[in-house]
Amino acid sequence: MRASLRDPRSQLLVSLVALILGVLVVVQIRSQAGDSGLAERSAQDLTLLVANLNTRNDQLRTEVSSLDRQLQALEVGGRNGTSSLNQIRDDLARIRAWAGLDPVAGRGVEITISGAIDGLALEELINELRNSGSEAIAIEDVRVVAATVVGGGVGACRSTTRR
Amino acid sequence: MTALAARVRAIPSWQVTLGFALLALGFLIAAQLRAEGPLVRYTTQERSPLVTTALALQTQQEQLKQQILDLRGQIKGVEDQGQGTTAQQRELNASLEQARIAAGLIPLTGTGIVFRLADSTHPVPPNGNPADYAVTARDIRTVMAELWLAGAEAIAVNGERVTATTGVLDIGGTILVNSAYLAPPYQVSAIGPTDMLDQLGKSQGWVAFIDTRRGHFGIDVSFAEPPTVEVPAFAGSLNLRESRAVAASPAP
Repeated sequence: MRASLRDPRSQLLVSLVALILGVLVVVQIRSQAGDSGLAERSAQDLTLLVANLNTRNDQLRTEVSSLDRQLQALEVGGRNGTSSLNQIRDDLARIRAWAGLDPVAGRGVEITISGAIDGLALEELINELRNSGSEAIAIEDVRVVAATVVGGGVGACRSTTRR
Repeated sequence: MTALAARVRAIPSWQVTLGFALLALGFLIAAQLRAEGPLVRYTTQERSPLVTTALALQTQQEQLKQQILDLRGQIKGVEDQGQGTTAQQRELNASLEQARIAAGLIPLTGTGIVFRLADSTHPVPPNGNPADYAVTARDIRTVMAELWLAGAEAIAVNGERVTATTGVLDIGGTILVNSAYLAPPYQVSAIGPTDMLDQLGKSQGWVAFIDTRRGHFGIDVSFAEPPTVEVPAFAGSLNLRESRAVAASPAP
């Protein structure tokens, strides 16, 4: 007797193969996309990455707590009918200082470069300061904001900020 | 020969289909086993736990960022409730809105351009440096700088808003923006005037970047100009632990 696709056993077999095939395709795609290439990184790089992620997550948790407190204070002020103007002023001052719209002062470092340096190297330095957690940066008297671009050759560094 | 051909023709079509399906199944099982192999080896080298930790921290980071965005939305809602009560409060709220826009705390949408950067597919020559054929933090920073010069008003890299404190860091072929791990390909979205592409074409820095990185090393740089570009809000910490406001010196 010749097997045919009408035979329930054949249909069952084909269905089973199709099912396994489907599962494997999904598993394969997920395993390709899952670690976003992290498995290819060295243990040293991964340790650095984990340290960076840890630091950032700690900062984010602090920010969540701070925003939580700010929200509660605003809600209490609203319920009591007391003016929340001062709270809004504080919020405005904090955002303006962080965005580089208002001058700030505090503990930090001042780097003086007397040798030959070009704009590219200066930009590297600013990037390193940002990566090190600096809160505000200025070159000479010019505050560095998001749109500040540093360029130019040796002895002719310039910073440009388009607004 | 004719007997063989007759036998082949006699095979029912469903058996042929099943044969191909089983072939594909075998291929996938082999591919899966190969993909699993290194992971098992990494476990003994303490690399897999690091990957797991990094992925877990990244997931946590996404949740925390969402919490921050939600809380900032609620705060804005409460602050806006008072709008209209007094002229002073209206003015204060308008200033707050402007400051939030300048700080990158509000998502923006508008005309703009989206660049996509992906690693080169060129084979690395024997004396070549593989790092030159991958997208680096320097590449991302160059694209960002050129976009600012071309008039961009807001920029995000893979959804990470670029702010005054944004650093772009390379860790062994991995790029971090705002200390968030970004998976390639990298998408740099910029909102700005409609002539940004023309402005880029006039920039010596941009032309040199394209010539070197795309022309020489084969970095895949492509772009799109969708009708609207969306740049999300910065979902991070407004870290001002050391800074205190000082009165601006009066203008001379």
